[in-house]
Amino acid sequence: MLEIRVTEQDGVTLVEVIGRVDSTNAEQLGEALITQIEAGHTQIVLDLAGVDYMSSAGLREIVSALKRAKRSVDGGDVRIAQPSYRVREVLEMAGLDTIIQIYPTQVEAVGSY
Amino acid sequence: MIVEERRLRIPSLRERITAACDFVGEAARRAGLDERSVQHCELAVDEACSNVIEHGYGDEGAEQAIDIVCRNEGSRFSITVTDDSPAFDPLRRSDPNPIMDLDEREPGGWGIFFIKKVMDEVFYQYADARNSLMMVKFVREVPHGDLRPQSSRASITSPAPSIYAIAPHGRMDADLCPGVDMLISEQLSAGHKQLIVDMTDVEYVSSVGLKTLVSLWQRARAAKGDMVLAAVNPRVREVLEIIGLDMVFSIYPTLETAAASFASRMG
Repeated sequence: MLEIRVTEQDGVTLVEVIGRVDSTNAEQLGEALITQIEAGHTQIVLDLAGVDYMSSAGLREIVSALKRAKRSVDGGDVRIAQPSYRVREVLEMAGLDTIIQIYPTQVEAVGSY
Repeated sequence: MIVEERRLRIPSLRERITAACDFVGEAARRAGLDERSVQHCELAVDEACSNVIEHGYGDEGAEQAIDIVCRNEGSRFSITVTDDSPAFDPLRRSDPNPIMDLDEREPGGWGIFFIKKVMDEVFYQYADARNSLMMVKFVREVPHGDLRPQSSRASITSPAPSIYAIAPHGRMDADLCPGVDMLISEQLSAGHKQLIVDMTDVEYVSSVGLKTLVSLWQRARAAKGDMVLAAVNPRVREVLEIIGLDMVFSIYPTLETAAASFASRMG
């Protein structure tokens, strides 16, 4: 089961995810992100502290959301906070560490906007 | 040699992939793989099954089956994923490029690439009208995360996931350097690009040693990684300073601070 919590903090949309992100539930994550972007909440911090496993299905949703956010009129972004080592490894394998801003803490990620 | 084999058949449904991951994870653990390798095996079977379900059978293949066989052959642990969808060799597909910009990037297409990256060997076979993808992880005597195969002249450790530290022992001269170069080159070709040269046991660096360090640093940077130095003794440091290499290399007092520097520079 994937738990997704959305909160607004200092004008930034914080999306906290808890659980395993794989092809059985990655779409839930994608939908949660797209819903926010479509509602005009395009400055997003995706907090992955509670995610101990992510397959390429999860990355696919994050990249789709990132593209949508960047294309929006107000030029949004999706930034990642506190990925575990294992999630970081997957992000690095796909080279996402070079195109997504990654922060060690939630405070830094939110403060980056 | 005792070969242990465990089999699982799942219907071609995405919601059953987690069961496949659990099955493979348990078999991998029993085969003696360390936790990181276990996670790699779970990722590999997840990606392989996802591919079959999405591209092989299509999303309507619920009545089709995927067979998963785990074999523990002592030094090798293999996972074979077999399906009845049309013949398709995923290994012939060209790899996506991790250094693409966001604009040129398709969101998906990483599954097979991940399998090739995290497993030691991958084979595809089409036989008896079935696709089989065999993914192998070598079972190392020492846990993958701690110590890799050692030579008496240099050793490799992994102080943190995806960070590798090479510690040359003795004088870094024309005699020792080819071995160090080879060890680091192997890491780079395995995609390990966050490298630390642990200089604790290096008492002297010759001009060949300096050349080797610069060349390895350049290659790590070219691969979008980095190579930093740790625990450089004062005498070696003086040599580095004389030719200005202390401005080129990041130098950390200990292995731990060097490893932490990679973590903190993400983002």
